Amino acid sequence: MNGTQRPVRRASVLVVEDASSLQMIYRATLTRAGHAVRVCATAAAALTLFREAAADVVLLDLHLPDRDGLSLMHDLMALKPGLAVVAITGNGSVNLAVEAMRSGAHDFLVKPVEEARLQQSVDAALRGARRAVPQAPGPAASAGMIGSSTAMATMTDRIGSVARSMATVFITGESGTGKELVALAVHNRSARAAGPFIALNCGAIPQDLLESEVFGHMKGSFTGAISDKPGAAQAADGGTLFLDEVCEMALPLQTKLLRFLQTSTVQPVGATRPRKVDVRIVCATNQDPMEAVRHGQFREDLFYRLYVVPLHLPPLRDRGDDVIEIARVALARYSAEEGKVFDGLSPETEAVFRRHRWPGNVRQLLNVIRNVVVLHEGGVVTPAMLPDDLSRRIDLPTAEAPRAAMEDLLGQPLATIERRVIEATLARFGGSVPAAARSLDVAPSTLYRKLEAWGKG
Amino acid sequence: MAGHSLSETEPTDVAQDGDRITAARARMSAALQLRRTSDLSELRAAAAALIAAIDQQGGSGDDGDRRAILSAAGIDPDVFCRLLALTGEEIARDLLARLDEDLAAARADLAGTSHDKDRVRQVSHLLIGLAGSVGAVDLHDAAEGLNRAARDGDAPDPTGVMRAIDVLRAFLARHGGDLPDWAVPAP
Repeated sequence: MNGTQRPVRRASVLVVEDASSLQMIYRATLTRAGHAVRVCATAAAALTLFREAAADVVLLDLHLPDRDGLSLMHDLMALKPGLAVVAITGNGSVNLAVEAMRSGAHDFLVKPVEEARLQQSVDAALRGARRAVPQAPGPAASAGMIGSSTAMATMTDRIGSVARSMATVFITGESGTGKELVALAVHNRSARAAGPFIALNCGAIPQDLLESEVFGHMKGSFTGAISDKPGAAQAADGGTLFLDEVCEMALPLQTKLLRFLQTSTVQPVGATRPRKVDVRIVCATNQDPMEAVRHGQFREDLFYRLYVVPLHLPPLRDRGDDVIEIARVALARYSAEEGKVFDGLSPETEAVFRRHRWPGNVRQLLNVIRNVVVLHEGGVVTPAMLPDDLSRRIDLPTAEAPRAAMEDLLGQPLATIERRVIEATLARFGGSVPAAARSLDVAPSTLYRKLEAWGKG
Repeated sequence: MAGHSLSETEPTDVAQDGDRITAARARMSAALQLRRTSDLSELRAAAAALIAAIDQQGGSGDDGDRRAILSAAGIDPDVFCRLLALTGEEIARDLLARLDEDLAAARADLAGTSHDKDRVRQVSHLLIGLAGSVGAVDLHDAAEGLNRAARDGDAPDPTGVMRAIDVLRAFLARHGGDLPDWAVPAP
């Protein structure tokens, strides 16, 4: 730890930890950082000390001998609303830490706690507590998130709850559901809104370049590194780093990401010294992250570090009439951009939209509306104006055709079926891997890997 | 920390002490090389011989000695020394005394409740945090293994953890209350 580093401000910190040697270590670290520290070993003592003089930050071990740490946290926060609590837990109680974050803890630390991480977390908690809690935005502020379905109302509420904490947010949902929009909403409603929001798609960048994209590189560190380049993690200092398709990250880089999360330092490729950064991580995937862990594609320890506050975005087909609301807003926006006048959607078109499964979700819907606006001059949008692909899918006899296709595949090895489906999908989209990947709801890199394995890369 | 006044010895004695330290360092170096493949008794004997040689000389040893001796006790020298530098001498003594108390309590807990997986999990959590914070890598690794076993439903066997606690406590008993100069780097 840099002993000369000045704290955000001198603060009163209450450490609640039953292991006396750990108490001493935390106290020594925070005292050296300039804070006034009181320590205690039990929940009862913590309440007594807190009532005597409230603390700015409480460092709270969630396993206490006399009481559940979470319920103590609730009591302390009731005594001082807005209190910044940093929860501490052992590795196996990450679920408890997640619960603490959902209940309003500012951050959580996993034992053993590094001094630098401890100090940074307390400083960040102080900054968060000092700033006014952002007000819930009105409809205009959340214009990116359209839809009045129950699912979206719940999502908006949860975004508001998680935004004020430092907790890592893990967004899941099918492709095209708007995961980046949610990440941006979390950033915009957080105390870091004035800082940068940096988004990086881990599935769209070749793995050998990804490390440099995330952590940066120094001039001459590899062929083609013609100048120093700060990575996304450094660029997001003071703000939010959004890692999309995080399950696509190669295992060696996952190790580095884990280290980054543990130490809050980045070391550009070729650099000799790490650099400390203050970044909130929001990540997303269209896969089932637990499945990726089970298959060994994603490190379990990294998963638990990232999967603190999960947000699941429902597919468009499960969002009721949100599809109509989004279509209307998009029609108005695209019409204005193209200098045309459209008079809304016909009832038949709305019926088509409600029936459609929207495998590409909101992204697909927006493409349909863009297509309509570009190819037509105005008026009411009727089904005849919709793209052929959309109409054809709707008109397909939904029961018979799939059955016939299934007969052809039955009895084939699963790997063969997968290959045939992928090849057929690629053919449908004219060989476009990104388009086929969107349709199959996988990352393009997944398809590239398979094609390479089949000798078609 | 304990002062090590230079003993009043004849020049020939100093030369003999120097030889003894050189020999002890060589033995220590060889023992560290074998650490992963043999039992630890030779490593501890080598560490004891090195400490005795340093004491005999009345000096404080060098950084290499410090690292070797701490490694023999299953301690990461970097983490441990950084922690002592952070706390300062006064608090360091108290800290190591508290650590010893915490370790003793955890060991007693393990000895008495090894059949209770939930309790073993809790105690191993505590030990992971304690050991990781002071750089006690052997204990940390053993506690992680025990925690995994308790979590995965295997019959948790705390023997390895208790042995690692004993090694660490033996080190603390010998040096914790009166840390020799070689244990504490300059701030």
